[in-house]
Amino acid sequence: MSENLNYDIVVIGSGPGGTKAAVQGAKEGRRVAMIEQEREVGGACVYHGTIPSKTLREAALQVVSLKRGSSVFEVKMTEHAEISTLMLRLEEVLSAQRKFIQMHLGDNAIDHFHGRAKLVGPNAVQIYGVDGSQKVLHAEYIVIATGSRPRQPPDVPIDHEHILDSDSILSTIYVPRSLTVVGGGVIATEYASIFALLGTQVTMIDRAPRPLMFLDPELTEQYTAAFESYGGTYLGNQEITSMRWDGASQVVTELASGEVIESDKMLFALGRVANVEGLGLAAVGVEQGKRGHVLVDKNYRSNIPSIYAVGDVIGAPALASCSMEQGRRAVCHALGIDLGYPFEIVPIGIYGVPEMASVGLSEEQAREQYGSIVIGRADFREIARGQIVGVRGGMLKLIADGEGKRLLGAHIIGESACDLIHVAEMALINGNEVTVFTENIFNFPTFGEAYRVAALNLINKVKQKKRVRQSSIC
Amino acid sequence: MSNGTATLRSPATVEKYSNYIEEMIEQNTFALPMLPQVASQAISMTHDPNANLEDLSNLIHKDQVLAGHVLRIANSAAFCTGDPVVSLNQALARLGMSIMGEIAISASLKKGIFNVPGFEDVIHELWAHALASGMFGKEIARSKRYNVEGQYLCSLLHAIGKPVVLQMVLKVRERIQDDIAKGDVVALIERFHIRVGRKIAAKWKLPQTVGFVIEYYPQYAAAKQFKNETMMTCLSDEMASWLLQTIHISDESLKKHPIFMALNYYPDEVEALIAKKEPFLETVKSMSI
Repeated sequence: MSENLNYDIVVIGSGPGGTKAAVQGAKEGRRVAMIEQEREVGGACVYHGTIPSKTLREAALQVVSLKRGSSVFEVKMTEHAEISTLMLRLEEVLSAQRKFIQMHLGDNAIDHFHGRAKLVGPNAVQIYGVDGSQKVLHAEYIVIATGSRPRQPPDVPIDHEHILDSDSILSTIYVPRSLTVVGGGVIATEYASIFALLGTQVTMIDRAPRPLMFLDPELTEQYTAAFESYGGTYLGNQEITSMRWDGASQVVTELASGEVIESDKMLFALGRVANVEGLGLAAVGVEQGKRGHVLVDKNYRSNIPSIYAVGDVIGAPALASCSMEQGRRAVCHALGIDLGYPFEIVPIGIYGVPEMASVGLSEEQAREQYGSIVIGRADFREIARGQIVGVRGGMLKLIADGEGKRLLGAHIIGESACDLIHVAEMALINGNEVTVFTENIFNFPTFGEAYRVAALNLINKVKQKKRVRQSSIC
Repeated sequence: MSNGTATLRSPATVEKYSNYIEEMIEQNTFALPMLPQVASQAISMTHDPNANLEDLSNLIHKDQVLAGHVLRIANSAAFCTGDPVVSLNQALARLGMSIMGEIAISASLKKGIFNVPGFEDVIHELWAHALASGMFGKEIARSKRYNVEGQYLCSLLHAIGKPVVLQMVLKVRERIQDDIAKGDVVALIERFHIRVGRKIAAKWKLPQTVGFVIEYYPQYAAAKQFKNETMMTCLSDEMASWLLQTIHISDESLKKHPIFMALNYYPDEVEALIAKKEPFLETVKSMSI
C-alpha cells in the first residue's frame, strides 16, 4: 500500500534546474520534496555531462601545456594512456559536487526521495522506489526537471563498446587512435577537440557546413583551424548513409558522397532527448512537443496550471546555467513572487579547445535588426597576458550599433572565454555604451584587457568613418 | 564466487597452510605467473588501435593448442550460427576482433593460469565463474551506459588471484606433506586471493581500474575511486555465482542483494538481467570447454 505525504512543492529531478527550484521554494518557507531516480543527486550534468567532460578537458590542456614545455623538460605521453589516469581528479570533483548539493538540500530542509516518479494527477506524484516500495506525494505545485539523455536513433547501433555516446565515451579505458564524431553541436565539438588534443585522429562529420552553426562564423573559423592544427578533420555538408561496426576492428561510416571513413571508435553526438518516459504526462494531460519536450509558457508553466517544467526537458537552450534560472523563475511564478530582471540575455559557453563564448546579437542578427553596425576586435596575441601565456590564437569581438555606441553583442574565442563573456553580459544588461570599456580600468596584464582593446578598435573605426564622411563632404 | 562462509573441515590444517601462504606473500617467495603472451597481446590489441585482425590471427596461429581451443569455441553453440568454422581466419572474419580477442584472452588464461593438475574440478569452477563474471560485466556496463570493454576486463580478471592461490596451496602441500580437504582449499583461496590478485595486476600491468576493483569489489562501499566499476564488478561476481550455483543462491535471494540498490537497479531492470540466465549459461559452457 502506498504511503501518502503532503508538500507545497514537489520537484522531479535533482539537476541544476530541479535543485534551484527546490531551494527557491524552501527559501520561501514552503515544504518541498525532491525526487531523484538515480542514487545520487546532481543529475546528468554532474555525472555524465558538464563536470566529467570538463575534467577531461583540463587534463588534455595540461598534457598540451606539458608538451609545450618539452623544450625544457622531456615530456612524452605514455603509449596506451589510460583515460582514467587523465581523470584522476574526477572522483574528487564529483564528491565535492555531491556533498555541496546534499548540504544545500539539507540546509533548506528539502525532503529527498529516491525513486522513479509518475504523475498520477495534477497535484500528485507516485514514487516507485528502487526497493519496490511505493509512495504518493501530494503538492500544490509540481516542477518537472528530469533533464535529457543522449539520443539513440534506432538505426544507429550504439553498443557502448565501439559506437559510443557522450555517456559511455567517458568510461573508455584507453585514448583511441582514431575517432569519428557524428554531430556538429556543443557536445560533438567539445569532445572532438579534446580527443584531437590528446593525439587521437578525429574526424567530425555533420550536415552543416561548419560546426556550431549558431555561433559567430569568425569563432567557428578559428575553432576549426585550431582543431585541424591538432590533426582533426571537419567534414561539413555531409549526409551519412550508414554507420556500423565492421565486426572486426573498425567502425565504418559511409557518406552519401561515396567517401568511407574508418575509425577505431565512434562518438554519436547528434542531439539529446527529454527524459519523459514513465512520467505519465499524457495521462494527466500535459502537452508535449514533437520531440517529447514538455510545452511551457514564458513562466515555465505547462498547460496544467499546477505543473511547471524547466531545464532540458523543455528543450533549447538546454544549458545548465539556464536551467537553474528557469527553476528559480518557475517557483517564483508559482508562488506569486517578483521574478526580478527579465530573462532575455543568455550567455553561451562552449568548452571546446579553444573555449568559445557568446552573448547578445551575432553579427548577422545585428545587421538584420540595425542595418549599419560597427565591429571591434582584439587579438589575444596582442594582449600582454596572451603573450605571457603564449597563446596561439584567440579573439574578442564586440558588435555595436551604427554609431558605435550601443553594445549589441560580444563573441570570444580563446583562453577564459567562458568567464570573460560575463563582462559583456553585464554591460548588455545595464545598457552600457561601448565606452564603458575604455573609460574604466581593467587589471593588467589580463585577458579582460581585450575588452578595452576591442572597444578602442571599434571607436577608431567610427572615427575613421566620420573622417571619411567629412572629407567626402568637403 | 562466495565461499568465504564455508565451514572448515580441519581448522588446524587450514591455519598451518595459511601461515605458510602468508609468509610466501609477505616475503614474495611465490612465483607470480606471467601473463600469458597471447592474453597480454590480446588485451592490448582489443584496446590498442595499432593492432589489426592479421596481428591477432598471427598471434593465435603461433600456439597450435590455443588455436584449436579458439576454433572449438568458435564452433560452439553460442558462437556458431551457420556452417562450421574450419580455419582461424574464417573464425576471425566471422566473429570479429573484439570477440576473438576475448576468446583468445580467455583461452590463453585457461591454458596458462587456470591449469592446476589435481584440482580440475575447483579450477573449472573458478574458470567458469570468471567467464560468467566477464559476460555479466559487459551486460551490466551496457545497461548503465558504461564502456563495456573496460568492465569486461575488470569482471573477467577480478578473481585472477584465485587460481594462483590454488597453486600456492599445492606448493605448501608438497612442502609439508600434509593433505588438505578441497573445501578447506576453497577457504584458503577466498582468504588470500585479493592480495595475490593485486600483485598479479601490478606485475601484468593491467589497467589501473582492474587492480583497483580486485581489491575493493567485495567491499565496494570503501572504494574511493572507480566506484561504479567496483560495484559493477561486485554485481557481476554475484550474478556469476548465481548463474553457476557454485553456492546455492535462489532468484529471490539474489534480487535482495544490496548491490542492486547500490547500483540503482529497479526491479524491472533486475528482472531483465536475470532473464539472461539461459543464453549466458550456454556461452559459459561453450567457452569453458
